[in-house]
Amino acid sequence: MSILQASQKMGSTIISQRLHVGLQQLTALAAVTHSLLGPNKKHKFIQDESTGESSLVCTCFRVFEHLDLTCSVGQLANETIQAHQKVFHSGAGCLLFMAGVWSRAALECLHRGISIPHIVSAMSEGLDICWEVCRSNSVSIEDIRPVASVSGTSVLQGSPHTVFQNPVTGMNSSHGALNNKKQSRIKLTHSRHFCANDKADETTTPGLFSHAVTCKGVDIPHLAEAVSHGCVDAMSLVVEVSKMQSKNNGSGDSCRTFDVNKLVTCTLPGLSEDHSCVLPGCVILLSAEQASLVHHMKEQKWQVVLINGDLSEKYRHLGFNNKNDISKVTDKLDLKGLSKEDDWEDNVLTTLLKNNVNLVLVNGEASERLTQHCMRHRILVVERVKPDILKDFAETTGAVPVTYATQLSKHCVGTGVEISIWRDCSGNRRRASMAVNIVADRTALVTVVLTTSVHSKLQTLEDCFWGCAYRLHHTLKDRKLLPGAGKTELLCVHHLQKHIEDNGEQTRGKDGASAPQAKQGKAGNPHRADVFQLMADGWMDYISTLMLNSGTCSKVDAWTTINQQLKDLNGGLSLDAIFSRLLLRDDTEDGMMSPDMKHSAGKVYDNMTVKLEAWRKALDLVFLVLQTDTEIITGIDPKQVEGQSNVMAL
Amino acid sequence: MSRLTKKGASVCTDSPLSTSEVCRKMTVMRQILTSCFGPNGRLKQIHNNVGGHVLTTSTSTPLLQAVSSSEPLLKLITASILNHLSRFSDCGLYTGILCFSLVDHVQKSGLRPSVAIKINKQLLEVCTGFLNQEDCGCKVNVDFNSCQSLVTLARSVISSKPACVLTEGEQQHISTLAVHAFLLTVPCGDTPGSPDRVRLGRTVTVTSEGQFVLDSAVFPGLLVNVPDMQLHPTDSERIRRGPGPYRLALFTVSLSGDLSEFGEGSLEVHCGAPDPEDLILDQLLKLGEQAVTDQVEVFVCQRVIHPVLQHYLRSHGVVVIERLGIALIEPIVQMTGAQAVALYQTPIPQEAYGQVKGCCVRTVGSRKMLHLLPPREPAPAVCTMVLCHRNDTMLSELKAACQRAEHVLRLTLRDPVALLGGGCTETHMAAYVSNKGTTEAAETALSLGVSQSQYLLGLNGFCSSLETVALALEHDGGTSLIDLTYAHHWSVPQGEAIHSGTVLQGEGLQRGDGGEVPATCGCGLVERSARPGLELEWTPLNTRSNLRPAPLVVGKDTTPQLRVLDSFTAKLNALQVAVEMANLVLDVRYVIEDVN
Repeated sequence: MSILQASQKMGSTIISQRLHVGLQQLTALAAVTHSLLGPNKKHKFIQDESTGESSLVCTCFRVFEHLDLTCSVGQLANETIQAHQKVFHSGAGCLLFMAGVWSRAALECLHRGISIPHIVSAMSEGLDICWEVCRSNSVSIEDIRPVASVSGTSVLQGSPHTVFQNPVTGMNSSHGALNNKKQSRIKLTHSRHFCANDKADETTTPGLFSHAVTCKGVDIPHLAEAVSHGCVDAMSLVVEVSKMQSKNNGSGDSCRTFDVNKLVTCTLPGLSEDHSCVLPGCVILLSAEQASLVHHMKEQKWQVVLINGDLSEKYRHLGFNNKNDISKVTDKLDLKGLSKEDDWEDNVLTTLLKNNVNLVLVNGEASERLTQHCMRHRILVVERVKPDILKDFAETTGAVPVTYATQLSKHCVGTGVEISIWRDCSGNRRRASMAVNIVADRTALVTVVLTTSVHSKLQTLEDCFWGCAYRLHHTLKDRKLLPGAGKTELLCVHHLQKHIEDNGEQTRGKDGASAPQAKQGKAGNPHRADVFQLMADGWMDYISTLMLNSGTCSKVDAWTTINQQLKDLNGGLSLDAIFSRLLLRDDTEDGMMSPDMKHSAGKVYDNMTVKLEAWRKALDLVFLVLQTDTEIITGIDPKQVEGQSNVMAL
Repeated sequence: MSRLTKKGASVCTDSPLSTSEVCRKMTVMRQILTSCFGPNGRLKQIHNNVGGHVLTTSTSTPLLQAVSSSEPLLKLITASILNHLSRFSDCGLYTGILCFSLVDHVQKSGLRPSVAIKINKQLLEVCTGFLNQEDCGCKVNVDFNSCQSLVTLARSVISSKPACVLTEGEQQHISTLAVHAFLLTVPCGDTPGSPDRVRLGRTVTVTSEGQFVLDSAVFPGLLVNVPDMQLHPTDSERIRRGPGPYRLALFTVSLSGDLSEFGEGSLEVHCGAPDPEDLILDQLLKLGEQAVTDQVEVFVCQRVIHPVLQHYLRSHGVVVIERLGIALIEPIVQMTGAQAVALYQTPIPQEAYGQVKGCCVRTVGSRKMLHLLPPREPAPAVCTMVLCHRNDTMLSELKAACQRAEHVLRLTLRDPVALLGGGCTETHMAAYVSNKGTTEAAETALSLGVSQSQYLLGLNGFCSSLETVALALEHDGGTSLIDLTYAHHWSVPQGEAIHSGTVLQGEGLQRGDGGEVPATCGCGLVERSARPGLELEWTPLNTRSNLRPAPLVVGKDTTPQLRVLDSFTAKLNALQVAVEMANLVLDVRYVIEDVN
């Protein structure tokens, strides 16, 4: 790839030839994800040298959010990952890993002198073959039955607080010293183009799949266990959510439905992790004063109104241009001393009282004075309520959201809301210290309260939880799963190798007799076998990294094991047989596999659509970078680049 | 304190084309354009030096808009290519490559610019004359009775951009959608009032990142953004109710209720007098009342609508759409027949109302959108194309390609013909021009007032330039061949022709057994395994032989599977722009720059 610079003012452009730097950069970036693969995720510290702030991450997309990506390939990778995360909420690590190994494969192809169109066509053909392999080897969710475990019950069927040690949470003590109060996002430099998702985007879900997925004949707890990927605690919470939603749905105690859109998280630092729980409706933190109001009105149905925007006299809707230079002219002294704000407050209060409103949920901020006034009249004003929660209340209580409190009329008031005090969270010097639970009749909304005593882990816990929630969501949506723990990848390698052999025979046949070229079709690509082999090596790398991270063996041992498995596959053994043999061998050895992982390795599954799309996007990224030959930088002063041999001016 | 600086004298460059700096910059620009060309073209990553957005593309429009040079001659060429693109959308790289190549060949040949310009002009006339001939061998008729050639045209445009990263199935899907959208915008029957004039509809593109390409779709009517919060439960209920048409009101004025339209200056309000904000709101509510009594069912505003007015309208069952944006005003006017109202102080005139057949909610990716259906079937048809792709870079390239395809398809309505793609038109035309020029060299040279050897030199340069465009399709060390019967372009991938060596280099003519040459030529019209006894012969494209067989016209009764078709109108204009620009650049004697 060459670099070329064009400047708007001075007009300079510079070019030089280098060996494909872009692919090398992509490989290097992807190396970040190697330790994030598999159930035993290793947390990463990202520290900002200039501010001394640090943050703890354990997912690929969070790593990228915190990195300062100056190279254009990094930006392209980031764009791909964020797009994937926005839609699927899982699988970003797999995407980047495969992008890394395949860009190495493409680099190797270039070294061998294979032309770019040949690389592109062979690689996309290879992926198409593997898509087909995955589709035909997917398992219907009805067929996933619980594997009898030692205790006789499934891991996730018990209480949410399982006895098993979570690999993620098991390591928190070593990072206990981390005290990152503000949970600030570290950006080493600011670029408006790395639009990191706002926190709100993460905690509230977009209305992508708007309906609850109800499944007859499937056992959600077992499915959840199959896609828990080591996040046992988080997945237990997801199963609890499903139970609660099924109950609200009228399905009774069975666990048949799961709607990821009717789910919000609430993070509470300060409590230990086993206080995490699932509650109907929403959870909101209130000051002790406000909470006392809740005490007074226990076991009553409240009337609610919803305000979009701020609850203050000064607030105007978006798009309203405030004119500042309006002056009031008066010819007599105002003796009453009533300001405009007083008028407004009286007005609002009267409206609220007239309509018997007890609860005001405000999307933005509420005027402090009005909040105090309202409290005296036993009206609870809650500010900064998430839009998703407001939306659910609008749907379930019949309340119509309004922008101005003065707009309120009788038909805007919703009914049937219950409030109870859930927990006293005071003691950690927070102003809002009482957690209250607000539930509307017939609501499907469920809140998951995530707690931890280590503040900096909150984000990680939340990411982990949403990852689990979306894995279950995709499972129910696809109604199909792929065998996990590297089995699918192994099959892909196996099939690619079979194609390589067939290809070889075909070529030999052509040399010997006269095999018509037209019959070969796409196989006319002479480098197909080489590219397939390099692609397959990428998957081998994936499986071996997975095994390495799981602590089963070293990378070299992993390759040996995989090769043995491939031989077995060629010998006609079924996949399950091979894996059970692998497990047996591990039993005899002194492996590092924890008992529960050994127990569950046979029944790990992955989401089909997520995985296939991640592969496709990884290959897209490689293709985009591979086919790029020039980097053009605009707006550069030619004097800056004088003497640099690798740039040319235009 | 102001300071005066003495004005510097202007800088004058004598014969700029002879300075090495200008030549080097032109070579760089030429390399950029050439390396982008065709389905195997290379991409360019463009960003600014402070880490701005990275644009990855091989499309001429964004490329030329982003890359600017300090060199006046390059600026001139860039501007004329962009001007061509604004009119025809297609063949931007083609224009650039041809133009630079023509300039380059003239410089190398040592012809005086004035002579070369004369010859180029004459040869351009030969070319346009040839392309406009009824029986021109590189022209095919676009058959509107079947979609085949339209889809091929669209697919040629879309597949020529590798940054779209589409699989073959996806290419087919998108090409079909492009044709579908195009057909929807062609009205059925005459436009009322003007029977001999047809007014085309338009396609609005909506993009959705992160979705499957195969989820892309075309809808008749318009999809408009509606924030989730504003999609009131009552909306979706009424949307499903009964058949339309419904009455629609459209405003371009802001209905936010602020005082901004009074302009600058301060306002004095007497105490006791009503608040101006309240007065405006009253006025807005009066407007709302009128809309409700006039039975308006859809209330649309380009800008913000005051929440109180929205609330009022919604409570009366009106569907409210605000912040439509200026881009959708024209399509909505076209579709519904409404007149955009730019005033809220007076009642809405009855004739300003438009109509929609109905509306429903559609989910596009993570967005909920309101679908406004066109009022009647033989519409001034407006349709919406929803494009989905896996990431933003590929999506923007795909969007540009689709819009280009739409434009190319529209051009076929005026001239229902297309040119053979894959470089075949260029090689074929070069052969024709070369042949005609050589045979008529003496008299043409005489009429142009140049010597015959000068004319032949110029002719050679012109034909080489045309072939250079076909050569530019190859980026991976492959060989480009031309067959000696039909003069079509054949491209042999790297590493296949070299060792088999069936194409003879010696005299340039050799009987090949065809083992290494692909099954068909670049456009797919000529097949390698021709009739027995009529085997094809090939020669490398860049070796020019004086004796050239006259290209045969392929019979039009057979309809072989054409793989690549190019827009006739766009390419014809591109050819003219390229030659005229080259002549202009050759003609420049001095460049005078103001350096202040």
